[in-house]
Amino acid sequence: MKNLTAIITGIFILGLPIHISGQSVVKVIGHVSNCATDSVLRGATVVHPASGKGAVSGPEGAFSLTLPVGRATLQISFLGYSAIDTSVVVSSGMASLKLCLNEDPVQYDEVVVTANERDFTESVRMGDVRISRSDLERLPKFLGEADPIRLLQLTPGVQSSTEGGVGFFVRGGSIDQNLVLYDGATVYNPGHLLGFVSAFNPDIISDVSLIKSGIPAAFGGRLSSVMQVKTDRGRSDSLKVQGQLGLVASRLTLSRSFDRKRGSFYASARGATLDLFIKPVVFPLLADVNPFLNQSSYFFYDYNGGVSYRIGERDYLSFSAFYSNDRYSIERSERMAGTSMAWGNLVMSAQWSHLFKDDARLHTSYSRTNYNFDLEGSQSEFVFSLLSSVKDDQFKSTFYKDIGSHRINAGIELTSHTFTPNEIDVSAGGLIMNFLSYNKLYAFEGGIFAEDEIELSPRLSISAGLRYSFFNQVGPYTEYFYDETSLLRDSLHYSEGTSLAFYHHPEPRISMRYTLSSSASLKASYMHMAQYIHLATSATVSLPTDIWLPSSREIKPQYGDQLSAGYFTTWNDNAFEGSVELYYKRSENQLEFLRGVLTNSIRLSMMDNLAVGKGRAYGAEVFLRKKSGRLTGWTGYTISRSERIFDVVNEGRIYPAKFDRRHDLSVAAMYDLNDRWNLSAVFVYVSGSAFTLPESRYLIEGNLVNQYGNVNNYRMPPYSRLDLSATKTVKWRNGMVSTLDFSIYNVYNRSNPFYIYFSATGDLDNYRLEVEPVLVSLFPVVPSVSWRFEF
Amino acid sequence: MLTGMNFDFWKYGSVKCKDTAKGMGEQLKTQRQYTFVRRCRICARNSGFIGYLLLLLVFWGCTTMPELDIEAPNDLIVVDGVIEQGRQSRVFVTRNAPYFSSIDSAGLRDLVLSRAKVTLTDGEQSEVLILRRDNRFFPPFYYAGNEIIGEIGKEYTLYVSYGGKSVRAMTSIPEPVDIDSVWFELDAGEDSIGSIQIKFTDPLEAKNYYRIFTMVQGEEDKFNSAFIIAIDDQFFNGKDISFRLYRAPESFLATDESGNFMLGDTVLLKLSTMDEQTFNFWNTYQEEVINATNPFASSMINLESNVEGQGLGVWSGYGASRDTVICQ
Repeated sequence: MKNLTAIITGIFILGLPIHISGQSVVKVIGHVSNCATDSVLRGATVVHPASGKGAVSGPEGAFSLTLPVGRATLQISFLGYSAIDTSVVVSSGMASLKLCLNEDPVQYDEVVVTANERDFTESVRMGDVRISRSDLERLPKFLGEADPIRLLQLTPGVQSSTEGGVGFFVRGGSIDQNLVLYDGATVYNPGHLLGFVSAFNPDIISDVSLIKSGIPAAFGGRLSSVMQVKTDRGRSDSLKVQGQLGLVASRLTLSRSFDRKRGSFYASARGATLDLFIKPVVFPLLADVNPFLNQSSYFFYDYNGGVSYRIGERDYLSFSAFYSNDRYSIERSERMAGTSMAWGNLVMSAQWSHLFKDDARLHTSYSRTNYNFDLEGSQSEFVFSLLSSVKDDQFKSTFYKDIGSHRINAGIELTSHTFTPNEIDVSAGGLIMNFLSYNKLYAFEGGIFAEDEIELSPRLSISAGLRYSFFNQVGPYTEYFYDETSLLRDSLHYSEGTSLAFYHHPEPRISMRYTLSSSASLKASYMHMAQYIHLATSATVSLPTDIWLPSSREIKPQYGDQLSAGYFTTWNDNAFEGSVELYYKRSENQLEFLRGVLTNSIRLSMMDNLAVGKGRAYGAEVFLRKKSGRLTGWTGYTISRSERIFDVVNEGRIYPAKFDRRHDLSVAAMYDLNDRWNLSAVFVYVSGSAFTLPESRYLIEGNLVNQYGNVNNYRMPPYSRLDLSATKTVKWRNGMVSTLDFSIYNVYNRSNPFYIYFSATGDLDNYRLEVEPVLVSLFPVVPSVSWRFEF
Repeated sequence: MLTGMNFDFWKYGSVKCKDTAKGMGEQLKTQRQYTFVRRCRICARNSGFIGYLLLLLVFWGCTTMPELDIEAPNDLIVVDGVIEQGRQSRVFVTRNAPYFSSIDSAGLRDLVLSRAKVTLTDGEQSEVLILRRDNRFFPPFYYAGNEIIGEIGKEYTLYVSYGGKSVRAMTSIPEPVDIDSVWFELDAGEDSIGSIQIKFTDPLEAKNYYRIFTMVQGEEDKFNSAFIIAIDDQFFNGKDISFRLYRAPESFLATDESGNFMLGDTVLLKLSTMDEQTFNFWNTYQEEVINATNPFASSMINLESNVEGQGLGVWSGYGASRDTVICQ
C-alpha cells in the first residue's frame, strides 16, 4: 500500500489567487480528498516545510496557505492515509490545488503522530483537544471497550465525574455545559453503563474533538465546551467487516462503498455481554465487598448506521443515525423491593454540502435527537415510575467563504425542543393512577452567527465572531394557580405558539494567535456564551436521574464568560509539543436541586426545589506530548478551582462546586515493542471531590437525624488509578487484521470513592448506637481481554 | 375515587448497604476525627487467582482513608415536642451530639437536657413544664405539661432555655379528620400475617397534612409512626383514600423488624393532622430517615425546623382521631 502515489492536478475551479503582500507571496487554496472515493478529508495536514507554514483542511476538505512564489514542496498527511510529498509551482494566477491521499489502513498508526502537528502552534484556536483513532485503539480499555470520552478525560482541564457518574466536567463547568454532537446532532446523555462506557461505538468513529475555549460562533447553547464526534464512512470497494468480541460488549460493523465510490455506507451493532461473562466470574469474588454490583443487573446496546452519496462534483449528502439503550436494576428480594432505570438516545442527522463555483461552500443539516429516562421503583405490589425526556429537532446552515485574507463563515441555527421534565405514575395492584398531568414544555432556540478569521500579518491572526441567540418558551402550556392552602383554584391555558418567555442575547467571541517563532506561539481568547437549557442535578451524585429543563419565566438562562491565554510550542522537529494555558470563567444563573430528584417530583412547583446561584472557575493546564518514536503519549496536569455562590447555600458564602478538584494529573503512554506487540499505560490522580458531611446528630422520636455542616465542606479521598494494556496485532496475508487486547483496569485495586455515607445502627434497649462511615467504591481491579478483527 | 392506594413505595429508597460496612472494614472513632482502616481484602481472597496475584504482589498495598478533621459543631437545643387535642403537652429536650462521638448509654443519657426551662403558652395562660421519667420513650425523659390541654384551632408557643441559649417554637392544632374504617388483610399466601388498611375522606376545602401512628396492644406501649411518616393531600384532595399499613418499627435504627401485623393483634390507630410547618419538618425528616444512605436520592440537606433560635427539631400540634381494629 505504501507505494501508492499521490495525484496532484491543478484543476481550475474559478478560485482566483489572492495577493497578500506585494508579489512575493500568494494565498493558495486547495482541497484534500480521498483519491479512491473522492470523498473530502477533513483534518488533513498540509505543511510547507521550507517556511514552516501549515494548514489543516476544514469540513469540506478545504485549506488555504500563504506561500512564497516559486516552486514549493508540500507534505500532506492524514490519519489512516499514506502521507505524501508533492511539488507545486506557486504563482499569482494559479488554480486551486486538488490534493488527494490514498488509504493506508496498515500504516495509520504511524501516520497519526504527524497529524495536526502544525495546527498546534499555527491555528488561532486554543483549548482544542483531538483524539485519534489510533490512541483510542492502543490505550488501555475498561473491560475491553475503547472509549473516546474516557480518553478526553485524560487531557488537561477535562475531568470525569465521579466513577460511575455520567459525563465530564470541562474547566470547572458542570456536565450540562458540554455540547455533545454526533455528526452535528445533539446527544443528551452520551453514556452506557452508568456513564462508564460511552455510547459511541469506536468502530465507526473517525474523529473526536473537544473545544474548551474560544468556541467558534457557529456553536452555542452551552457554556463550557463542544465535543464533536464524527463518524466514518465505508471506503472499501468490497464489504469491510470489523468487529470485536469483548467481555463487556461485543460489536460488529459492516461498511463499503457503492456506485463507483460515489456512495458509501456503514452499519454497526453493539450489545452488552456483561451478564454473560462478568457476572458469573467476577461478582462472586466481590460479593461481600460490593453488594451494589452483586444485586444489580445491567444491559445495554446500540445501533449505528450511516450512508453518504456524492451527487455530481459539488453536492454531498449524508445521513447517520444512532440508537442507544441502557437498563440497570437493583433487586432487593428480601425486601420485595426493586429499582430500575432505563435510558436511551435516538439521534439522526441528515447533511448536505454544496460547493459553489467560486469555492464558497454551504453546509446544511437537519437533525433529531430524543433522550428518554425512565425510573421505576417497586415494593410489593406498588409501582412508582418517573419518566423524563427531551426531544429536539434542529436545522443548521453554515456558509463558508474566503475573501482575501479573510476566512468567513456565517449561518443560522434553529432548534425546536420538547421537554418532559417528569411524568409520574403510580400503580397499586391493578389500579393505575396518573398523579398529575404534568405539562410538556415546548421551546424554540436559535441563533445567527458570523465569524471572520483574519491574517493581519504573518505573525498575527485574529478570529472574531458574533452569535446572536434567542430562546422562546411557547404554548401549549397550562399554568395552574394554587391558593394559600396549595389547592388548585384556577388554570390558564396558553394555546399553541403563544410566547411564554422570550430571551435573546449577543455572544461575542474572539481568539488571536501571535507567532513567536516557527515553533512557538502565544494565543488568547475570550468568549461569552448563553445557555438556555439546564440539567438540574440532585446534590449527591450525578446519574441519569438528573432532569433537563428549559429556561422559562422563572428559570433564567445561564450566561458565562471565559478568558484564556496560553503558550504553545513544539520542539525536536515536532516530536514534542507542549503548552501552558490559563483560564478564568464565571457563570450566572446556575441551578441546583435543593433536594433529591424524588422529592422534586412530588412537589407541585419545581421552583420550590431549585436554587439559583453563580459560579466561577480558574486554573492552569500544562500539557506535554511526545508524538513520534517507539514511545509516544502525553501527560497533562491541571490545577484549578471551581466555586459557587448561592444565596441559600452556606449563608451565601463561596463554596466549592461538587466538581471542584484541585489537582488533576493524567499520563498516557504507548510503547511499540515490536511489529506485533504494543504496550500502553494510563495513570490518573485527581484530588477528592467535595462532599457534605454531617457534623452532628440528634434524636427525634427515637431516631437519629443528621445535622449537616456546610455544603461541600469536606473532601473525599483522592482518586487514583493505573491501567495497563498489551495488544498483539497480526496482519494476515489475506488482508485480515486481528488484534488481541489484554487490559487491566485499576491495577493496584484501589477502592476509589464513589460516595461516602453514614450508617447508624443501634439497639435502643441497650442504649447503644453506632455510626459508621461507609465508603462505597465501584470498580476493583478489572482485567479484560478482547479480540478485534477487520477484513 | 382513589382507593387501595399506598405510599409505601417511597420505602424502596431505603436500599441500604449495611453489609458493605462489614466488608469494608472497621473504624476507630475519636471525638473529633475518625480513621477508616481498610482490610487487605483481595490479598487473602484471591490468592488462587494467579494473574491477579502476580500483579498484586507488585502493586497492592493497604491504604488508610485520610483523617477528616471535623469541626466541633455548635451546641444546639433539640426540641421534639407534641401537643394533641384533649391532652397535655410532652416535650423532649436534648442537645445534638458531635457526629463521630461514640454514644453509649452514658452518652445518650447525657444528651438529655434535664435542667432546661420549658414554658408553654396558649395566648391566655402559660405554664412551666416539669421533667418526668417515662421508660416507654427514648430517651426516657421529657418535660410534661399539666394545666394546658390541647384544643382544636388554638396556637401554642413553646419557649425553651438552657445554658444561656433559648429557642421558641409555635404550632397549632388543626381540625382532625375522622377515620372512616380500618380493617385487616392477610398477605397473599399467608395464614397469619398481614397488613391494616385505613380509610378516610380528605376534606376538600382545606390543605391537609397527615401522620399515621399504630400501637399493638399488649406488645407496644406507645404509638409508633407508620412507614409513611408524613403525607399531604396533594394527590388526593377531597377524595376517599386508603393506606395500607405495615407494622412500623419502634425505631428505624433497629434493623430486624418483621413489618407485619399478626392475626389476633388488637391494633390502635391514630390519624393526626398538622399544620404546614410541622408537616415540612416531618416530610424532610422522612426523607432523611429513608434516603440518607441512598446515593440516588439523598441530598444531605438539613431538616426544615419550626424551632427558632439556637435550636433544632420540631414542635408538633396534632388534631388526632383514633380507632381500633382487631386483626381477624
